[in-house]
Parts: sequence; C-alpha cells; structure tokens
Amino acid sequence: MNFHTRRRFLRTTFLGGATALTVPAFLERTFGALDLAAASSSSAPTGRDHPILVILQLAGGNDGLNTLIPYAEDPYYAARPKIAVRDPLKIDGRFGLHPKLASLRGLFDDGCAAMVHGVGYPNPNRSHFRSTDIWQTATDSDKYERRGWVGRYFDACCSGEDPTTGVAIGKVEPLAFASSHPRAIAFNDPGKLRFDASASADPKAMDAAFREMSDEADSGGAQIGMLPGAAGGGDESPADFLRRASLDAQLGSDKIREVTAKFRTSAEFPKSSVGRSLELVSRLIAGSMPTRVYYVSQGGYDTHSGQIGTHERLLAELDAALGAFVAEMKAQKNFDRVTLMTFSEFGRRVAENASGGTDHGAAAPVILLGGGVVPGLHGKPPSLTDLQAGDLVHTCDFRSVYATVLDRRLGAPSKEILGRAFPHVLSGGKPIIS
Amino acid sequence: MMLDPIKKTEWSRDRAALLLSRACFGCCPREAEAAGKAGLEATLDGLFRDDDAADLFPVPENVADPAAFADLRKKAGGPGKNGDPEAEAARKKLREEEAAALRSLRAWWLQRMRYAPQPLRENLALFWHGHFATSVEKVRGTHIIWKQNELFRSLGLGSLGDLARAVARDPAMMRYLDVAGSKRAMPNENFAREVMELFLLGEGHYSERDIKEAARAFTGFRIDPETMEAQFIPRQHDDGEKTVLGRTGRFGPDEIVDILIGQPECARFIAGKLWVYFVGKPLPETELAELAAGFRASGCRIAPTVRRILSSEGFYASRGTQIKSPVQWLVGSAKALEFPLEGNQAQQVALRDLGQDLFAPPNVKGWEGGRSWISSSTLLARCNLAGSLFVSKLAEPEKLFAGAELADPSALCASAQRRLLVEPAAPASREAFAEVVASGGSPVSRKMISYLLRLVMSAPEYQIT
Repeated sequence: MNFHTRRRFLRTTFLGGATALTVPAFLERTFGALDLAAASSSSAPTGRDHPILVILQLAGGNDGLNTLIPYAEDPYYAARPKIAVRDPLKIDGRFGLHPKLASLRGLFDDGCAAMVHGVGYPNPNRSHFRSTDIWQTATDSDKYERRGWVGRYFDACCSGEDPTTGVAIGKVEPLAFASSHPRAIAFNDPGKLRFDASASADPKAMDAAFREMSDEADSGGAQIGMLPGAAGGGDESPADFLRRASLDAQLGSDKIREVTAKFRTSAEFPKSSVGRSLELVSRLIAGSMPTRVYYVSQGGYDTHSGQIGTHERLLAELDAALGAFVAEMKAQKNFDRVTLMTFSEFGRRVAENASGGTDHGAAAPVILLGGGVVPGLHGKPPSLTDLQAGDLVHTCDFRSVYATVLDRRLGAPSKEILGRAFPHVLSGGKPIIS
Repeated sequence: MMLDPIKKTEWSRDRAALLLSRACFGCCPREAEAAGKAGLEATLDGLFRDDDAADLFPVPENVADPAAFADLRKKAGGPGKNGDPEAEAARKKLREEEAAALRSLRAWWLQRMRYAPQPLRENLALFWHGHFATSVEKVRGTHIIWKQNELFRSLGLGSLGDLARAVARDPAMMRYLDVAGSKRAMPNENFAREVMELFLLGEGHYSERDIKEAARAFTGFRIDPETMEAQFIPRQHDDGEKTVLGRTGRFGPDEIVDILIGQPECARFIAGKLWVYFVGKPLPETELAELAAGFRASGCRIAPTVRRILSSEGFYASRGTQIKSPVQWLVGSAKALEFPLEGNQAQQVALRDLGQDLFAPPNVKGWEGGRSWISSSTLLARCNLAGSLFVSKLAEPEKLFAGAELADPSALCASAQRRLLVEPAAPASREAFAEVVASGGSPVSRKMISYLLRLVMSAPEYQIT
C-alpha cells in the first residue's frame, strides 16, 4: 500500500461495506490491527440496533394554532375570523388536529404519536434565519454557536469518522449537523451520488485517478488525529476542506448507493418531496446504515397571505408522508428504535393579518413519533389571551424536548451537549419517551 | 496593510488571472496574459468602464412586455374561479408561459455573464441579487423579476442610497416581502424587518419596535396590474408620525431607507459583505472599520469600494481561499475552455443542482456561499457536469493547446493546469493528471486530452480560486 492510499484506508475502516469496494479484506484486517487509534474507534455502530433520530423540519414557520387547534376556545375564533379551522379531528375536549392530518390522528389512536404544546424559547426571535439557527444550535436566543446540537452529539458520542453518521436529504447540510469533526452527508438523489467515469475508455482508471486526487501526500506516519477530517473545524484550509469533502463524498456515496440499490420499501410513499425524502430515509434504515440522525425538510410554511389552501396542501403532504413512514418502520420492525421529531423555527401570530395569512410568531407544538414515545398531548397549552406582542408565550423550552430525546432515546448526556441541564418533558411525572 | 494597494512590481499574469476569476467569473489564458501585461490600473479601468451593452443583448419579448400574459391572467382569475375548467386551463397555460419566459430570462443573463464587455457589472448584479434576495417562486412574474435585475445592473456600482430606495419600491421585492398590499390598518412587517436585518444593518442594530414603526412607513403600495409598476394608494398609507432608530417624523419609504443608510453600522455591513464576496474570508475588525469609513466618506458609492478591494494586498494574498460559486464555476468553465454558453436548459438545470438557481435563492438571506456550496452531492455533480456540459462537447480539444504541448505530455499537463487552475494543484492531483495522460501513450490522443481536462476540472483545486 503506498502512502496515498493510507489516508483513504484509515477513513474506510469505519465504513463497513465501502471498505470492501476499495481495499482488499486482508489489508483491512492487517491495517486495522496495526492502527490502535483506528481499532479503538471501530466501536462504530453496526447499523442494526442503535437508536435513530429522524428530524423533520417544517421550514418557514408552521402555524401551530391551525395544526393543533384549540377548538374549544373563543379567543381562537375571534383572532382568526377568516382562517380559523372549524372542523378539527378532535383528540380531547380542547384540542383537535387539522382535518388534513387524518393519518396522524390515527397514530394517536394507535398509541405511537405525541405532541408537545407550546414549544419555544425565551426572548423569541422572529427572523426565519436567526430562529432556525437558534433551533439548530440549541443556544439561548442571544448566543451564537458554530456547532449544531446534533453535531455536538456526534462529537460527544459518535467516535470514528464515518461520513454518514448524519444524513441530510437535501442539497446542503443543516447547521444542526455542524460539528468539530464533519461526519455528515447531504444528497437528494442517491443515483447521482457518484463520479461518473462511464464515458471514458477505461472507466476504472479514470475513477482511480479521480479518487487519487483527494488523497494527500502525507508523511506516512499518519494517525487518526492528524487526518484533515479530524483536524476539522473552521481552521482547515479550503483546499484541505475540498480534499476531505471529495474523499467523504466518494466513500459515502459508495455505501449509500450500495444500500439504496439493495433495499426497497414495502409501504407506498406519496410522491411529494417530503414523501420521497422519508422513503429514502426508510431505505437507508432498512439497509442498516450506521447513520444516527437523519434530517429531512419540508418547506413552504411561511404563510403570510392566502394561508388556507397552502397550509392544507402542506399538511396533507406531511400527513401522507408520516403515515407511510410509520407503516414502513413497523413493517421493517425498526419502529421501536426510531424516533421522529418535527420542528419549525416559530409558530405564527395568533391574529390573522389582512391578507388572509399570519405573520411570524413564537411558540408552536412539536410532533414526536416512535416506539418509545408516550402517546397523547403533553405539556401545558399556551394561553390565547395572555400574549407577548401578539404572540403565544412558550410553555416548554425546545431544549427540554431535545434533552428528552438525547437522554431517553440516543443515550447521550444532554447536559454536556446542550451546555446545561434542561428538565425532561413529563407526562404524569415520567418522561414522555420511555 | 491588507487594504493597501499592491505594488506595481507585484502585478503578474497569475494575479491578473485571480482578479478576472473573482471579478469577471473567469477568463481564458489570452485574457490573463493581456491583463498581466496591461497592469492593474489599466485592467481595472477596463472593468469599471461604463459602456452600455444593452443592444448586444436584446431582452426576450415575452419578458420585456408587462402585458405579455395579461389576457391569460384575466382568464385565470382569482381563487373564486377554483374548479372552473376554463380558468384552470388558463392557469395551466399561464404557468407554462411564465416558465418559458423565466427560462429565456435565465439564458439572457447567463449570456451576459459570459459575453458582456463589463462582466464586473453582471457580477455586481449577482451580488445584489443575492443580497436583496428575491425569489420568483413567490413573486410569480418574470417581467418584474427582470426589471429588478436591470435595477441591480444599472445601480449596482452606483450609490447605495439610490439602490436601496429603488429596491424598496421594486415590484418584485414588494411582492416577495409583502409590501404590496400592506395597509395602514394592518401593516405587514416582513420588508421592514428584512431591510434592517438582512439588507442594510445586520442583526442586533435595531429593535422590534423600530420594525413595527418602519412597517407603517411602507404601507399604501400596490402593483398596478396593467403596467406592473409600483403604485401609491394614499388612503392606505399611514402618514402619521413614526419613531425609528431615535428619529421621529412622518416618514415614508425613502426617509426610512435614508435613516438606515445613515447608521454607521450600514457602511460596515455592506463593505464587509462586499469584501467577503470578492475575497472569501471576513476582513479583520480594524481593516473593516477602515474600509467602511472609506465607503461612508464616498457617500456610500459602491464602485470605489469594490475597486479598493480588487486592488488590495489582502485580495491578492487570498488566492486559493475562496470556494467558487456555481455561477462562477459554470461561467468560468465556459470562459476557460473558450466554450459557448447560451444558457440552455442543461446549463440552467446544472446551476439548480449545484445550489444556485438564478432568480430563486433559497430564502431572503440569499445564498450562504463559502463552504455551504460544497456537499457530497454538489461536489460530485461539479465533477460530472465538467464532463457532460463541457469536455464531452468540445469537438476539438486539441485546439486549446500548442503543437509543442501536444507532443509533450508534461507540457500538456502544465498547460491544462495553467488554463484551468488559479490555485496550483497539490502533488496528488498532479500525479493523477500525469498518470492519465501517460496511460494513453504518445502522441497524446484527442480522447486523452478530454480525460485530462475533465480530471483537472474534477480536482479539488478547481473548485477554489
């Protein structure tokens, strides 16, 4: 093995299937045993039993009051003469779901869905970008942080350098994934996730040449800690950043294409963008990827005008996708180890505006699905009359939801990851994730 | 130090290539040589020349005419016509026509970037498009999106005040951030917030109260459905007293913009963003204060500050630290390979896949830029598009090289790198280039030249400038 392949090799030892594509198995064993750093990091997950978090972003600021409707309260109708939802799917004596959320309503009956009332944070920021950043970094609203909350979980709990520890369906990696050791991959279409050398006379040689360019002529005495990926962070030069990105793209794409070629879902997913994203996530889960956290996003919730039709369509798409995802996870027998959590940067103002829409607001409910989730509505609903600048006052800090997920599902120390202890979200005195 | 102009003796062909790569989307070797010989000042004079090239690039008819789809729009009707089959058909037709118009508009702009005699002007239009981000996804109307683009082109190197006041009354922006239709009884805060947070001040330099007050000043406008121009409706406008950033008066849109531009933060915010756009890394605090002071002293005129940036030691010391945007990558590839760029469908789809769909930035913050351009999927897409959009379509790639280079593999590799790379290749990349050329034997075949070009364009170094 020449010194070029050494770096590639060190990174592939964490990649299971991808290793076989690039390095002969006997070399893998030999080299793995020689390199203690590599060996000790190979406590990487096997892909078959570890817990999985799926984060679903409702981008644009979902109108919580028209998602989980306080149908028994007069102030709701008074504030929204044009856009109030008048035929909710009742969950209890006070709240019901938007009529387009029929599958989700069914999941409440089946005992595998929960919602937390009034999730937000103090001194809410009403800018999409800033508030999205706050949710993604899990900081106080006046603090800035470069790493995302999931990235800090990767740093704390996911040793090794697998570039598919986080998988985002989309073009860019979310800030939530930003960590000191980049370990996430983002893509829309697994089929396109490869260097296409098919047009050349000798595709293998061309592919090999391409792969060679992301190898570094290091001194040969490489240790894990000296790899650019491990040095990581913002100090890495752009050239090193690109070499690492290129190498990770090759290794990650080898693995992901292998898995998606092999695994199909049994549940029928809707053709919407969020439906396709959750289908892809399902196939990757079926293929036992070592991925701990998946990230998908559904956009369009910024309903400043003509909200009724737009919001209906979005919730219908969301509902169909969630229904299919739960059915698929159950069919795969993976439902018990998967938790899906939604978030949106903010809810919307209680009062409708003159354009039949709603402006940026604050607190809103969060949806949780998964085997360990205590079903039902949790937490304290925010008051519709005791408002702050026209907005709901949050009753549950979003980091309490994160802490519950981290501690109870991912087995991760939330206090370390979130910077301080946040109380778990409780139901009847017990955490809402068992 | 960083802002000092580089010395005449430091000017070179390679520095010229860096300048043209960052300011003009790229260049071919001849242009780099010529600029290297001409010197920095003469090159910059050329970049900032104020010629009108409009007649070279006629605006597509279906874009230029505000009434192009007026009939269809009438037939399509409002939400009340839901379910009416004639209205549905008109809506479908309107969508198709608008999509076609948008494609021709994108092609038109890409051609300007590739061929316009003042590519810097196009680049500033792109900068302001990302800054005053407006997406056709919400605006729906190619005509007004084009008008906004012309605004960025004509005022993009002028005074910030003129530009920002025009943006506040720009129909596309008015529609994007809900100024159109905002009334005194219930002002929409969207534009008032973003004009402070994203356009002129940056976060933390205003209060929620400033936003609410300013929103009142932007009430009373709509878009005239015939002319597609902004129209003032006095009875919908709140002409009462407002207090914004400590000043009180019966302000309208222009006064609010002027108050914001008068804030010291504004010059820092804009000058710092221009620096990052052309250089990559943020400017350190002391130098930023200096650059901002110069910008303010010039009456917030944009051209002198851009020229200062493009002359500075800091700019030329930053080679290899900027990640090319998809537009830079696409237009620059065409320029470097002396390849035509008509802005066809495949090229437009490529930009979307690489994450920079023109006229459709992801949100009002525009494109984040820098490392966010690169994900596993966009990086692999760049490498693949280098082959499918460009190299495989070069009928005679050998024409890019001199006879002596074609006879000598190492000279060929060197020439290809000089043509395509601003940042010199690392040893691993150079070895890969050499191996591919060597594998084909001598003399180097046309096919091998293509492989070499494709490989250089797939190198990590090709993604940076």
